[in-house]
Amino acid sequence: MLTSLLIVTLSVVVTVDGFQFDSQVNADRYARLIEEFRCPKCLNTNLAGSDAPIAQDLRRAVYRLVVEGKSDGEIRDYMRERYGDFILYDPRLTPKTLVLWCTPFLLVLIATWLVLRLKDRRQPIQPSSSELERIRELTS
Amino acid sequence: MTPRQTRLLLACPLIAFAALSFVLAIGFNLGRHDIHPSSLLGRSLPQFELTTLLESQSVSNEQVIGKARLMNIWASWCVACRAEHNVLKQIAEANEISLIGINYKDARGDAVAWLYELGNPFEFNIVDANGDLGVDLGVYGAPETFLVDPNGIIRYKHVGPLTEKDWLEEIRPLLATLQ
Repeated sequence: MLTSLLIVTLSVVVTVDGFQFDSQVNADRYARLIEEFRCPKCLNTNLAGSDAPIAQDLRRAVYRLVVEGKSDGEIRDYMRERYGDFILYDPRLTPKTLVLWCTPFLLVLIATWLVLRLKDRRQPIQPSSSELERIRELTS
Repeated sequence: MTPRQTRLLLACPLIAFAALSFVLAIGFNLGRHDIHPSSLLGRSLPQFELTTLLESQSVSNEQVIGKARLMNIWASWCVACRAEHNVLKQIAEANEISLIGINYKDARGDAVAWLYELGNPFEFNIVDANGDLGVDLGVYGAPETFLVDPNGIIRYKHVGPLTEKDWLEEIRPLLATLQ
């Protein structure tokens, strides 16, 4: 009973994109990685969403690397070494991409500073004595 | 709002436009967007175990390493390769470097016919029918050309059709430093 259960568990085959995986974990990793990589020949499509022949080849390469037991990091390195940073939709933090990563935070900081500064500048409205008189009249 | 603040506010669109123009000007002048630098430069040729096109013999890195090679990715379906072919033939005739073809994702019959029609400048051709070697080399499409030194290290990569200028001004001087 236990043996047959074990055999059933071991022989689980998950199919994604026509590729067979021995575990759901690997199938999920494959699906996640092809979402993550950018098709090098396309303008703005990931490997998962492209029909370009090069995207098909790269999906097959991702499949092969997943099955060979490579980690996500190793697969990312493999792709980056061959197709450059262009292939990563999630760019690494390097001196070259520093501006890319820092600009949004910098913009928020500048905006906050501007808002605070303009708020300070705004003069509180002081009603004149005649106006105060009128208000008292109306509210009494 | 003081007049100074009003002027500053009115200048905002202009400043934003100038900033955007600046960023785009840099972006558009960075070079061709379809070419991305390969970090394979300075690294070994990937391992492969394939067959040759005309002789149908098995071929691996062993047959490539030993002398400087110009490895050209081509296919019979590739229009730009046709344009490049004469340059490759000239390079082969100069007899300064051995050329190896990588027949990329092609039908064997078409590829053989292509070589008979246009001439064969290659010492031998490696058949990469499904493009796996191409992926390992970081190839986008044909044609692409790699200069590999006698130790099998990739020294130069050219995307797109090779011109006589590329050969004379880039590859040849680089080749001279290898020998």
